[in-house]
Amino acid sequence: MSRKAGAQGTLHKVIMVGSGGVGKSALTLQFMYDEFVEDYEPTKADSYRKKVVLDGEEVQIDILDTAGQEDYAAIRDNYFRSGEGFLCVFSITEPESFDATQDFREQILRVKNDENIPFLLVGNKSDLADKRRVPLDACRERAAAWRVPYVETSAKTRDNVDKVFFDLMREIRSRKSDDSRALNGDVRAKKRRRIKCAIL
Amino acid sequence: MHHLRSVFWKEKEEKAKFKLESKEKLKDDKKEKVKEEKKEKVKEKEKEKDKVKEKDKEKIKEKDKDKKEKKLTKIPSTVTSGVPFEEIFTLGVALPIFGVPLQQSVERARCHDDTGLPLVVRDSIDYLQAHGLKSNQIYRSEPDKIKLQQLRKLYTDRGAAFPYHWDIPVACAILKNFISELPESILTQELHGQFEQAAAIAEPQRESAVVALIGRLPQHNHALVAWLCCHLRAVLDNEQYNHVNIQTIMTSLGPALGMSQNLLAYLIANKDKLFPDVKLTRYVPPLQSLPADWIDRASESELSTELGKQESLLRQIHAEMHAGFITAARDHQLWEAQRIVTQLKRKLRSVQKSVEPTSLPSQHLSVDEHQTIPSIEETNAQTNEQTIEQEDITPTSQSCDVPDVKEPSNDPTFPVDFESQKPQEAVFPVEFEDTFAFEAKETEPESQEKPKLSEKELKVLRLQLENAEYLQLKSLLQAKINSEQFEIVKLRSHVALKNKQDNLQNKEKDNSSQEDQELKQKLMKENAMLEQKRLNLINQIFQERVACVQLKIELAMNEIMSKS
Ligand SMILES: Nc1nc2c(ncn2[C@@H]2O[C@H](COP(=O)(O)OP(=O)(O)O)[C@@H](O)[C@H]2O)c(=O)[nH]1
Ligand SMILES: [Mg+2]
Repeated sequence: MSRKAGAQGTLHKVIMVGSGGVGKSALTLQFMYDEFVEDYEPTKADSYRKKVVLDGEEVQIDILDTAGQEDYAAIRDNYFRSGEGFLCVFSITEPESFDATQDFREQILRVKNDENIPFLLVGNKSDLADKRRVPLDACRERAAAWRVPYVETSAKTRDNVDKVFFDLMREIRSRKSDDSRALNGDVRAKKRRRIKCAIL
Repeated sequence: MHHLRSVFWKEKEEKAKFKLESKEKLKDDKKEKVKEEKKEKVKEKEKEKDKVKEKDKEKIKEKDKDKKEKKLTKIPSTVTSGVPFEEIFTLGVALPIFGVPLQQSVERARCHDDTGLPLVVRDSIDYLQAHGLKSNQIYRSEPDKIKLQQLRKLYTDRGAAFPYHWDIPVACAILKNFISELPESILTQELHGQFEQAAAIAEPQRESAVVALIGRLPQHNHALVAWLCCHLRAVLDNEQYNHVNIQTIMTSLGPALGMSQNLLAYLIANKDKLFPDVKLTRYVPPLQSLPADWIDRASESELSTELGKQESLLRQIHAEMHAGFITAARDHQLWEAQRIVTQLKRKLRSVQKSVEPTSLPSQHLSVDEHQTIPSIEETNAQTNEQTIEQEDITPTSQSCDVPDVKEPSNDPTFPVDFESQKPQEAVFPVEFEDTFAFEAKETEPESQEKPKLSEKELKVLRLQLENAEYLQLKSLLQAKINSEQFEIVKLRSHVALKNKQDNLQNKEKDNSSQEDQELKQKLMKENAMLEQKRLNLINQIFQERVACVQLKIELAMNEIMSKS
């Protein structure tokens, strides 16, 4: 809280979303503890905190690893509301999980009510290239439509794991500074908000 | 793939356990309403956005807020920004804890251990057990009405009560109020009459009849009756000091309980036979944050007890948010509690894994874990209380406990591997005979490699440092409390004076007294709110202090380490 945030730099709140089994927990644990868990343990919700250096600045990241299942919707909304950025994960081996990203995106937009919320579309299990069933083009297309970055990761090989968390933190950071500028009446930031309103 | 299917099945099972409460649907409806309202609000905002500039809008919001406050209080508010107003004003109103069914009151503000008591009941009994048993005020003196109101408001608003909010008459009164405002007898509507009848029959049939009835009490009623009887027994056992006998108790609590003296006296006198498993223990709330290396020093049973409390707290936070009470503070609390839960779970898992003889198939392991952890929180008042015997949660006493933590656990909810020792204790292998402890020793070569003496010395040193720091902190806080108490006495005398004046005026004209009463009520509301804010701040300061103490000790330890 303010104590920790004050003493140890800014706190960025990141939320992992996506269907069950796509590797949200695996990505989180790989990022947090450099470990890869082979067994699948369904998550209810777990929260982690880590101190990291983001472009020379010491910051803290809070990661909330959620469950993919519908039934958790009630408690999930409570978390979504306080999230500052989202990693929306699917598995490139599982088209259903790719489809589901649509729903997650909608849920987030509904709760946050903000098109520009820091958000990355993440295609996980890139190490399983031979089992790939979601074409790269489709992933890129969707990301472009949402105007969000698309990154492929492997929680197993650690490929791009740091990247997705750091990229997201950068988005959150720039979003926060935009917001504070908006509060001070900055014109550019205001313009951006207008656009957002028009879209909604 | 069938692996995945079983996984889904598991997740379903887990879900079922996690379902907030039976009233899920009702709450969902509520949520929908809230959502719609929000949409409305958003629309309004959008319109506003077009009309006014961002900055101005902020100001307008502030003003609106002020207006609302004024409506509520009708006096100029001294608080303007950053306070979760809605929450303070309405959580207690929307989800009251007095005057609602016991079950509901427990759901809304419980103590997060396995007693299943409403927090306010537990706290008052705790207070009386600690400070009231030998006092001649107990169940006799009238409480200070204002102080009682204040404490009541505090609990209603889920605020934190501090020692100076309490005194013996107030504790008795709030307990009495809670009971008398319950919509039904603490023995339940259904069973109350049968209890009376059973108590009236002659021995030896009487005991078995009453025992059977007690077995039929719902969990929360059972807990409340049991704790009350144990407590009242302790009061009566001190008659030579407090001069309270059963008549005194009947005079004080009789109307609230609605029981005959015969029944009450019987329940109290036979509490050992009727409630053999219930032992009064002081409540230790869930930790607000894990102190520096608490998690490494805690025993397995401490870890799982704490996990149970944190999960209970988490459920409560979710339920409150679900009911529409969403504030930055509660958001924060949610993440914080969630993080503690995750840490505790990870630690417990690693402790359990490290004592596992051979690595079991992961499937089994996770099934075990899911069954184990919820079962701990589900244990109710009927199970014994050995897990919360520890009176003090400061790290000092915790590490003092380390050598003798081994308590043969008969609790059926603990699976075998819970009973084995945490790795640290493998340093004292002589005490253990079970094979698990032996294996723990083997899997933990690190702790053996370290020179035993210096580790012990370091521990002692750390404890000494901590002790000194905490003593200092204690005296500092005591001084503050003293000055606060002085202030309270002063203010209360003011209030008393005003009350007298009010009374005089009341006798003269009735109309103005109505207004006075209203004003007084509003002032009291306002005060309670300020009080709450202040308490939050104090709490924060206190946490920072503890963090400072830990850091100081860390520094000192580092210094010592580098010297030696
Ligand atoms: N090959 C491979 N397996 C992965 C990867 N990420 C996760 N997994 C596996 O996928 C399963 C589900 O992962 P988990 O993180 O629990 O999924 P979650 O439900 O999204 O949290 C586990 O068995 C993981 O070992 C990855 O990048 N590559
Ligand atoms: Mg998971």
